[in-house]
Amino acid sequence: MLKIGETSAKIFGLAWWKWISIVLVLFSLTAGMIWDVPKLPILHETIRNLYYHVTQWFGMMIILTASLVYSIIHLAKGDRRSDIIAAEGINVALFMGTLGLLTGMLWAKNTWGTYWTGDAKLNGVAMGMLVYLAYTVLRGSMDEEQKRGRVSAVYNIFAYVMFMVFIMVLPRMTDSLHPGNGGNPGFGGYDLNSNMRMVFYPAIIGWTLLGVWFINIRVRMKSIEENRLTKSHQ
Amino acid sequence: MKKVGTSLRERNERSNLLLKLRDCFSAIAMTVLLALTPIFTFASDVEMADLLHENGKIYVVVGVIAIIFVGLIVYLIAIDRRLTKIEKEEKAP
Repeated sequence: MLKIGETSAKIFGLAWWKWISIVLVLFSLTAGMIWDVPKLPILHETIRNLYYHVTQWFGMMIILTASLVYSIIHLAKGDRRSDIIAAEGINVALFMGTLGLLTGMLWAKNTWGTYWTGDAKLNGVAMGMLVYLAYTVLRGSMDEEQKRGRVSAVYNIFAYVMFMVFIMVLPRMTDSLHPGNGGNPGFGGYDLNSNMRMVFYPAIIGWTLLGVWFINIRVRMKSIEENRLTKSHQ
Repeated sequence: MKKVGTSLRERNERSNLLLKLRDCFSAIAMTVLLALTPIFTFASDVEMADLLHENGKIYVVVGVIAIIFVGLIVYLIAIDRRLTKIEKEEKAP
């Protein structure tokens, strides 16, 4: 049987880290719109998208790393809980990645002049998302629980490596419009002042924790579903 | 005698709840205040973007965003609470 319920300490019936996520995201939404930002040509006020578009990707990558860790734990211990956490982590990470893609397209339209370019970073991230979509297809195609757990955990390790190569390695080896790639300095290089960092880092933590909250709800739902299934089989 | 004891404990729990409520409220208030600090600190400076912000009514947009986010979070908390209730029922039998 899977463990039911939450373990973290609660404030007002809600886990403490969920309150942190609320406060940090609210802070990034308000301070991110009001606080001073560097004045740069082309970007203008859209530099504020750093707090929202970039944090989605950072959150996605942190969650994918956590999912990888849970897959490795599953391979070592063979427990169902870490298998479920790894799978739901990828679901939520794909959701955040979709938001990151859509927001990035809107930003690109208004700074680069087009929704999509043949840019190495953009195509790389699209391929990386497809690799993870294949994970969900692979997982959905298997009924036998232990086999599904092991195969999807092994695939997750490959997918993680592929994803990181697609978005972190390849874009740096060619030309790219995207900051931080192909000889372009990242935002941190010259125009991310300390004011922006004060919003950017809390925003990353806040949005990531919000994603973890979604995972938390999905894992708890899945645990109840699976327990009911085993009960009905007995 | 026993009754007095329970009512005392109840009173204690109630004051604990109030303390927690006060803490949460002050945390949120501090967040909003922290976000607003540049207004207070740069109010004396005449130049730069604060004028643009005031004339551009950016605070209206920030307010709308904050209201929508708080609405979404309240909804999310409701879902979370409901799930906790279902989990308790699941454990019970």
